Amino acid sequence: MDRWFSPRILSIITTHRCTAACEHCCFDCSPQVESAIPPARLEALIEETAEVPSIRLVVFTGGECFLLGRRLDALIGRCRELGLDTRCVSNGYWATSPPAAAARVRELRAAGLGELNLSTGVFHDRFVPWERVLWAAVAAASAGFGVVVNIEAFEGADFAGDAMADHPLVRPFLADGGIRINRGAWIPSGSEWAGCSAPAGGLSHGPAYLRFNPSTGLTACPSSLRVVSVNPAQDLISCCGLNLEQIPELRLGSLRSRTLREVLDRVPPDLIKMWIHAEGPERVLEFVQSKDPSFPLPLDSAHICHTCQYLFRSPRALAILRECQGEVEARILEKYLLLAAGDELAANL
Amino acid sequence: MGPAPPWAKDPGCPPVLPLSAGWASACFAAFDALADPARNDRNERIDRDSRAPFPGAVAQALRMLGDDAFRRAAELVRSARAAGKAAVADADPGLRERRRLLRDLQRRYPEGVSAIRAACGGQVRHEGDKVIIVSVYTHLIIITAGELRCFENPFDGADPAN
Repeated sequence: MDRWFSPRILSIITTHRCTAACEHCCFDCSPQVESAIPPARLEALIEETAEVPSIRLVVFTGGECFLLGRRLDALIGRCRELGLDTRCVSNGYWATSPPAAAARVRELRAAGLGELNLSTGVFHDRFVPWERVLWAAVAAASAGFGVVVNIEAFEGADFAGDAMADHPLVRPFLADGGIRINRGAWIPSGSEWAGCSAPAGGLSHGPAYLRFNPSTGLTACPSSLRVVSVNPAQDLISCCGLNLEQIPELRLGSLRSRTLREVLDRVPPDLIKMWIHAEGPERVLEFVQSKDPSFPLPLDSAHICHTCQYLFRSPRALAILRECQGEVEARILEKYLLLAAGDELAANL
Repeated sequence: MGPAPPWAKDPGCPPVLPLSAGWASACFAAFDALADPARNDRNERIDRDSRAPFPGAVAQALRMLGDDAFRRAAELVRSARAAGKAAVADADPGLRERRRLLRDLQRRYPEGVSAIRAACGGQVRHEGDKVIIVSVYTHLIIITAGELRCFENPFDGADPAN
């Protein structure tokens, strides 16, 4: 085996089908889309995950992973038997009332689910009322799950569900950490892009979200190489980001006829993935600009995935990186290995 | 020219910035060590004359903890040799104790411990009030009472366990 990275998380995009059809959805999901990983392949994937010891967490996402129904519970249960932690990412459509939410959560608890992430915001709310997210979050936190509520953030967002943080049912769980509320930049989907620049008429964001803001952005990528994703086409991708299907360079191989381990063992080392992992795509682009001062940085980028797509869609940036790779190879590799060692240590504590 | 690498027929995307051969082998060796620390010590693929990053990583760890660490380390290993004993404990405190010690170290030297781990593959032993992180053939690192000592090739290739 020649492995040069240790993925910690397997993110399974079970389907692109969703009960919602949110504007700017990262994967263009909707009820009309039918692409999905076949159930038998999902089961096999879980078994194959056990052959990759570095992976400790399996995330079921989509689309809407709850469309799997009871199959989802069975997959979670098998993960538990194999010693794998689990997380589901959902829009909460199934929490139609507090009792319904509690009942579904009990089933998930019995199956062994550990964490629940819920997505909501202005665009989600048009399809799934935010109250369902609240009921799902409270039910899950009451059952002892770790719960994260991700709310779409952009300039001018007028979301009634922002009141969730002050809701008397939620407040106690915010205090003890049972529920966390994140506001993540909602950005145009990868398919809305044309060429290298951000789409016109897109969403805008305040300075706190800008990725080239030294006080808030310029961070390393938390998912590059640490998370590997499987999409409905059964591609394995070295990222769990919003634009993962728009960046072919992140595709590691197909799982249609090979196991997870077989694909991982054949991935050639790639300095650009290590660099993004160690320093983030903004630093990579700053390096490019240091070599070619006329190279324009995407200063309006509000999301690390936005910057990453800009990087990979710029032949000029990639050409400069190929030309100057030798100048940074030693520094990036050493930093990357130190981080990998730190990850290993943290994983074993 | 050697055989084609296993990914030559892989349908995945080729690397955007392929590593040069020396760095690629160093990288593979490091991950082998991380995946299986016990194997690190005898991993013949680590070419000490190459640009493998291990010595640099140890040096980085020491810089984080004090510039004179190498000098003090050298003195200690000289006196240990003069006394005819190697400063390595035989007893393994067990996984639970190692984890407790590592947590404590991680709190005190978060970056330093990561670097040591990268450098040595992370075999950790405990002797009295000392925590010993040892890589048999290449490095010995001792942390005691907030002090870190590091030795490169402290046993001249001999296995201190024998």
